[in-house]
Amino acid sequence: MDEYFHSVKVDRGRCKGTMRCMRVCPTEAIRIREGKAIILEYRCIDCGDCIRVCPEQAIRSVVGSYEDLGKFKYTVAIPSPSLYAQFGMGISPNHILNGLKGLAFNEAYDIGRACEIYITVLKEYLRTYSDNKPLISTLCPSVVRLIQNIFPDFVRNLLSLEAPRGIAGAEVKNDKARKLGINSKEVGAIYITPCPAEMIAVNQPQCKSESSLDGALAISDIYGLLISSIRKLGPLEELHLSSGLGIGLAIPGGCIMDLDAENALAVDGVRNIIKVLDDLEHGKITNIKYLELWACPGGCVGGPFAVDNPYLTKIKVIKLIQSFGKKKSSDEELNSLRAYLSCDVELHPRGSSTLGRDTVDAIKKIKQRDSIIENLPKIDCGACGAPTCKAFAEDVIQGRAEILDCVFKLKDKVVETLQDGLGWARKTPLSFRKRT
Amino acid sequence: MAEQKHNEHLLELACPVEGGDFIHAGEVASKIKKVLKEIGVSQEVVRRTAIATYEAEMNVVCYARRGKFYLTITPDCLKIVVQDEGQGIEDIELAMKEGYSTASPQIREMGFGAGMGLPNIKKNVDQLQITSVVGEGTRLEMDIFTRC
Repeated sequence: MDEYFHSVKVDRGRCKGTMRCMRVCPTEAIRIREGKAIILEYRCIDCGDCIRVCPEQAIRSVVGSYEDLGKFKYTVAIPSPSLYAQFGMGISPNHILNGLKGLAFNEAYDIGRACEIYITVLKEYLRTYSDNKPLISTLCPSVVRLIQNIFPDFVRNLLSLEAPRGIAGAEVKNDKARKLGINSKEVGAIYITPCPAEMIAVNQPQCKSESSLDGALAISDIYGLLISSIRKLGPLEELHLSSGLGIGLAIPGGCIMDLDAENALAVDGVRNIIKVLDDLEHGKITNIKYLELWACPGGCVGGPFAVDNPYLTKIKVIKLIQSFGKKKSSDEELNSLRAYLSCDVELHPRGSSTLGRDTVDAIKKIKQRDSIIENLPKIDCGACGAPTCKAFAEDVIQGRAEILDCVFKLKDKVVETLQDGLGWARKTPLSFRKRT
Repeated sequence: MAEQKHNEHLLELACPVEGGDFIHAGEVASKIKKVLKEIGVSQEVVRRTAIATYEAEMNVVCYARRGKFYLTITPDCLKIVVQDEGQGIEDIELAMKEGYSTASPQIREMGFGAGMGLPNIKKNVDQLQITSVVGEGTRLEMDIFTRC
């Protein structure tokens, strides 16, 4: 199994072991050891649910910093469409792009056109798609990992197209390198991200052997600076060149109407996604042609690094789509981006849900686990450092914990030991003992 | 001792299903699927079992008072027995025909009872045996070979 790049990390200095992250993690990837959270990397899908609930802000995402910008001759900011909805209605995408340029970037690039070509090609793809299971969107990197990990059978249904962020990165690098006469490696394409998962996409793109993006900055990290930059703006340069169509990708179902797909379904939140994929496996859900899945409740505007309330931003996204219309770029302009959409890496299942090396071994382990669970209190107290009694039992059989790490089992052991001791204490010395 | 050795490769599960409980319908099928994924049987076997067990579970929910799933897994074979207490099936041959259904209008309104359940099960398992006594209940024995 090749290594995963992970964006979500625990800051051990800040972590106080409150267990909130452990309880909320939808893939049971967090344990508490020595009073600090640790992440089981093979289970983590970088959804960032833990980041949202940590009261100490001890779970962080490896995102870039301004210092990284110094490595490039020319830097371009590429904001996620969700950034456009993070401000009051008086601040247009053009203000935001100009404001970004006013920060430490040489330029700010509107991702809209990349979204438009993406939706156009997806539409074509759907017309010829004939599998009896739905085509599954790959825009959200956490969803891709979730499917690789626990729904391996659906890997073949994952859409094999480069996401708009990657398309935009490739276009920016090629275009600037050509115009400025520099190497494309000297152009830094920096994504402005609402979530840690897209940071993975920057470092380890799912369908390309090499990433076209050079780094990412969290929306929340630049928000304050961006607001002051927007306030200081003079005359605006026309940087927002696309329609409102692509902005729809910031919310679940925002583009479904434009796909002309019969029965397309949008689902958000990891637990909801698991439920839907489960139903799909049982044949309970049928006749769905396209499944758009978002790990964050509310889609990208609900990302852990998004600043504004996701319900308000959803309304703003809808208003932006209405005010900018759905068609602006010419077919020629869009078609020039087509080459960036193809993938050169195939997705494979990761199969991390298997317990043993082979069937016999796995059966043995399942039996051991089930007999351990049988004797646990099943109240999921978490004191053992695992989110549930079931997860604890798995930790025991996989050697990550021992049975007496359960406080209830420990208490039983203490009672047993004390009773044992009492028996010994009651034993009379031979000189006093009555003959029997 | 020999028997114990044999049992090491055997995993048994028994799960009850309540008739008419549409809220929890499908949970047993989910549980079985989870175990199969943990065991690491092929995706194809997981896929077929998931569909067959779900259909069988819905049959209990739709037509019986209660039922029980007995799952036996060995490295080579998967045996699922579903025993229910319910109305039973009058004509098994007819029931196996695609589109034949005795479902009530209410059950059809919920999107079930299209007459595809048993045919779908048959399509997805390697061996299927059905025995039924009208007014008492039905017994389904499904075998899926995991190594072939």
